[in-house]
Amino acid sequence: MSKVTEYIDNLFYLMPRTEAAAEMRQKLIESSEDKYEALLSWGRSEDEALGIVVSEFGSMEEICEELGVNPLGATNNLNAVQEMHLGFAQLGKRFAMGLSAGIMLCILGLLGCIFFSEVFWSDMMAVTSLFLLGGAGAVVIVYSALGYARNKKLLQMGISPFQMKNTGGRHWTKKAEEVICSLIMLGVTALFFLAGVLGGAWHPAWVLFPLGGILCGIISVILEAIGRSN
Amino acid sequence: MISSDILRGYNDIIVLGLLIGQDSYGYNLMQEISVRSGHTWQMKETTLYSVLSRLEKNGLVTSYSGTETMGRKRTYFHITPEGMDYYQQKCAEWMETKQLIDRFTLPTLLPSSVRKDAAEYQLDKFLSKIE
Repeated sequence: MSKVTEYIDNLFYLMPRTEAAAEMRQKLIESSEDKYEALLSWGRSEDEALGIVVSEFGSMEEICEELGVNPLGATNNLNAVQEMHLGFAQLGKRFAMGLSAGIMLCILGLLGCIFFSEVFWSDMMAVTSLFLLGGAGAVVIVYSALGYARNKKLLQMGISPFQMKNTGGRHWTKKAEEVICSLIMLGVTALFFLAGVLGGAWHPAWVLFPLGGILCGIISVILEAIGRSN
Repeated sequence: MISSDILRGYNDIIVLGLLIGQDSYGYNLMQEISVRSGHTWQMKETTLYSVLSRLEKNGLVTSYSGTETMGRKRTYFHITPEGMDYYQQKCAEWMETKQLIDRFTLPTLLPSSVRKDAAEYQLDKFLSKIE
């Protein structure tokens, strides 16, 4: 890697890793490398050439403004700070709502289970209620927790996650990985309960959890490879 | 020294004007700007690419990657018909602006009374210098 690329990489070190930022970095590297080589071919030393490139490079503020982002930790702009606070408030609210909805579903599942087994003496209906509602509750809780963690990270980088969603900033393989893995783990949990409650096989059934984890690992590696080759 | 604040609104014309007639890439554009300004002014790299990025977002230019003889990847920029229209509009706007400012700055366009005052002021300054 040449000194020029290194210099620009350092400038972009604190920039959010968005597609637009990567494109901008690439273009800046292209033309700066061109300039650097032209200066070398005119007999300048490497240090002199780098000095000229750096002095004529300009300011990253312009780039940030154009990309509509703030570099990490550089949110002294009042507007941006306010926006970030708003974003965090919105995020917290969403998470709280998701969490309480999930817990409500779990409680409902439990209540349904007790209700069916006590009133109708039907184990089948009781188990179904527990799995369906409790499972849905678990999905809601896991989904909102994952979303919260991801969006918090984005906000800290100065990107509004609520805008990101519209532009589809993330790669599809990442999304697919999340969806597939949560489905696998959910299926494993359901199977575990089914085997335990209906077959009384709690003991060997726990093996399903590590197996599910390994399956998730394999799928994420495959999807990552696909994403990279694209 | 030209302040970059004044030029800010005209960076678009400078870049679009260079793209008329032929597509070009970043370094070449910067070279052209330097040459055409008689090496008195140079557009900063970050300025050029923010302008290009904005123009592209507004559909006034498009970009594509091509390879040069040295084999390095280069992004070329091409002006669109909308870009041409915008360029002409901005040129007309500049002519109007220029004519307006000329009325306040060019000695030949100033009213004679102002011209006399200005000449006296210059003379006073000159005299105070040699005293």
